Amino acid sequence: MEKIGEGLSCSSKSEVIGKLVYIKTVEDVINLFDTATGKICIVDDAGITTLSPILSELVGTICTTGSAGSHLAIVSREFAIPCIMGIKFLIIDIPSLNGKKAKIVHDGEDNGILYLL
Amino acid sequence: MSYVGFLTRANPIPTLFGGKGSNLINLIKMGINVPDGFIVNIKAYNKFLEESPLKNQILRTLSTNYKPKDVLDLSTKIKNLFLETKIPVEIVNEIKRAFYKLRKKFGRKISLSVRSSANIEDLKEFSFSGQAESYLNNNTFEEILESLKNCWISLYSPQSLLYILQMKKNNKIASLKSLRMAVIIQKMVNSQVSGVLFTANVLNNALNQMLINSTWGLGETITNNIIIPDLMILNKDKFAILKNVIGKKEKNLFLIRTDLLQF
Repeated sequence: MEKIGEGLSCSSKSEVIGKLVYIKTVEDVINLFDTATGKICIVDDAGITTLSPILSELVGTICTTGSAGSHLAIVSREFAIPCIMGIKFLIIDIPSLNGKKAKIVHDGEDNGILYLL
Repeated sequence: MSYVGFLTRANPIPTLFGGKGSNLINLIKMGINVPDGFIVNIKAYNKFLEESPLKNQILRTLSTNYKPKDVLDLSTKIKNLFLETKIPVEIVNEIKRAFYKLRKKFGRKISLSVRSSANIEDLKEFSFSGQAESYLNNNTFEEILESLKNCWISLYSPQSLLYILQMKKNNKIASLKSLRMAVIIQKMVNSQVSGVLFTANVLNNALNQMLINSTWGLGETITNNIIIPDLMILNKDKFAILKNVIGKKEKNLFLIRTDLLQF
């Protein structure tokens, strides 16, 4: 298990495993609509709210910016899905994470940690 | 007035003023300092649809059974139908009166925000958080009317249509036709610092704690995930600071004279 990032754990503290999907546009969300089940979505600062339509299918949400008061964190809590906001990645090539299996764990304080399996 | 209600005088009725509007009215009644303004109520939205020459076409479009791949087209179609519909003159006149009343009170340089308040927003069952749009920095009557219409249109944005689809899947909403939107028109605060306050610690569900996210300038950058804001956890009884993490806050949005500047 390789640690690839850490940020603020803003929602449910359950440990989850899912395939990573890097989301950039509303079209990405539409394409994912029927196959979102079990995925962990990664977004950065643009078009964040577009994720909420598929949230109930996802197992986790991850964002490179934001905090507990961001829309994504609020709707993640609404659906009780683990959510890491303001994640600091230890790797540079984020799109290369697409399709890889990962795990979200929580450190018991306020941090959420993302591991590659 | 029947289409406009001033925040300080209205009663918190979600079916008339939407979720967010009713919550703002409640805050004022509790004695909390809320920027002045008025709400264009849901009756105005209904009248706008009712009196549209394209009414039948709009209703047909809103009754469409759609799939995820249809949302971009459907959203554009609804947008165009709304753009082609004029806001009824009675509503325009009431907004005009309310706008000039605010101008009289706060001066000609008043800047207003136009904010969505859907009947499914900020309720127990739905947050609808961030699905519809807010329009900042409206300085003229014409800008307000334009933003009002854009707010109504944003109820049917692609992401909103997807959200509704998800809610339909879970049997929470029957159809697009059940959506209604009130619109809040509120004095903008030229803030040096803004924040979001939760009256519980949403990170660990501690009800005896509060959580604040804060940044420089306007608060838009926090809710829209544009930056990493400061994070502060407070003890609710004594306001003692339990945790204080300074965020990076790379970009800040300021209201300078009448323009929004991003740094």
